[in-house]
Amino acid sequence: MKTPGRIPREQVNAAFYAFAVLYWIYLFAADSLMHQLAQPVLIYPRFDYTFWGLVLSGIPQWLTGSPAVALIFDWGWLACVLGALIFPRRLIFHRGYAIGAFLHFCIYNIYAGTHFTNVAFLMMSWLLIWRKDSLFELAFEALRYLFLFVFFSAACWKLLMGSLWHDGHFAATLRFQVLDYMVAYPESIRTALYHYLIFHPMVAQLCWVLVFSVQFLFIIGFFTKRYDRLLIGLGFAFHIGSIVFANIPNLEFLVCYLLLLPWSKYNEPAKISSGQLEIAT
Amino acid sequence: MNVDKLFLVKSWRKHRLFTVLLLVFIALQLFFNGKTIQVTPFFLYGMYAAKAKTKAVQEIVYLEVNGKPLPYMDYLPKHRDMLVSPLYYYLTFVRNDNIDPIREPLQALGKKYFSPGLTGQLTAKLCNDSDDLKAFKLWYKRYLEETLDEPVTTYRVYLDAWAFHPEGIRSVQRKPLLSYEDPR
Repeated sequence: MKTPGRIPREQVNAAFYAFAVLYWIYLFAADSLMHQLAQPVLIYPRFDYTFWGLVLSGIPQWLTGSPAVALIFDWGWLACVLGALIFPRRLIFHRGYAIGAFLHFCIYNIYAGTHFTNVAFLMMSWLLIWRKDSLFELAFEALRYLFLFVFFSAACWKLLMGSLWHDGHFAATLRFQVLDYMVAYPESIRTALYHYLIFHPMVAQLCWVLVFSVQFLFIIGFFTKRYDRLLIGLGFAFHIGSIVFANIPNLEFLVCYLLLLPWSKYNEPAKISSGQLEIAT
Repeated sequence: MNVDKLFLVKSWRKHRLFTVLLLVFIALQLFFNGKTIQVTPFFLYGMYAAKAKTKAVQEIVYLEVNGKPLPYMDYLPKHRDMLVSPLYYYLTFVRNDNIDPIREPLQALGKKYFSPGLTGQLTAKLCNDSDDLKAFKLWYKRYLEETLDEPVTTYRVYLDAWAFHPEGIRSVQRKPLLSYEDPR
């Protein structure tokens, strides 16, 4: 039944887990599921105490150490996604997915030597683990704020750490960020663009100021939802710009834009025109 | 300002326990950000915010598998991360006399907060040792086989230095980093 003003849990559930299926397929295609890691050995827990806890518990070593266990984990994780799609009210699938997302996030990063590359799905896995609809709605709002915080805090850090006005910061960043690409595709248009930006640091820095401005604008979302569509547009522009101008593909973050869609409007009853009303009467 | 419309006020009125958990999350997020420490799931979303220094020469890895170059940039980003990032981590070992780079800071932390026994146990479990480094060579072969779906008899990893010039990039040096040859 449609209840005006409420976030439709079933639709959000379908949309999120459709993304989750695609993400699982993406991980499979990228040889990044547990059973595809080929029993890794070097750990990189950094000074992340959650990673420490996991390494000390022996869970990553156990999960990746045996191909059979890793395979059960990966297919079990997919079963949770499919289960949650087919039986949206069975919490076991949602909670199973959240545990799987947490373990995959930590273990992948511990062995890859990266840190929070797939944080979007970790965050979003907390959305549907709640029994009561009212708690789901609160979690939805809370995650929306967290997503806004990700962007807004990125702008704040650029101010606090001084990279915004650090001469040639973006041109210097590009030198290590895009060199692989320039070497691999020396004749491409993007290589020419990177080369231009590296040797025109003022232009590159203007791009950086633009990135800062886009991220800073996410502050609007803390005060009103009226401009959420604008934020979706800005966010998409940011992701496309990150790929084109810096070869940084953060496409997993696309799933977080579900939090900015006007779901409660979809739940309002359809307006009946006067012509329809005459026929009905 | 209508306080009743504030999210935390609405949340408190609906579910106190949830709101307490949320406040704890916010407090931890701010605490770790304040300390500039990243602990899952409380990250510092800087997105390249730290000031970058301009380097005239930059290094990247070059991979050769079964005698042919491996174009890792053609792979999906997550795949590329798994293929390349562990090599850079391995490089930090090589540059640190084959000692895990987190061993020293971990021992310093242990001296400050833990007993020598606990510090020793933590170091043993959280740091890689020379056996792990040897095993890494074989793991990398296994992962390349997973990637290519074919047996790997040899692989070589080089560290290439490139210089940036207004006319373009130029290769200036190639150093071997890691190699494997099937003993059969």
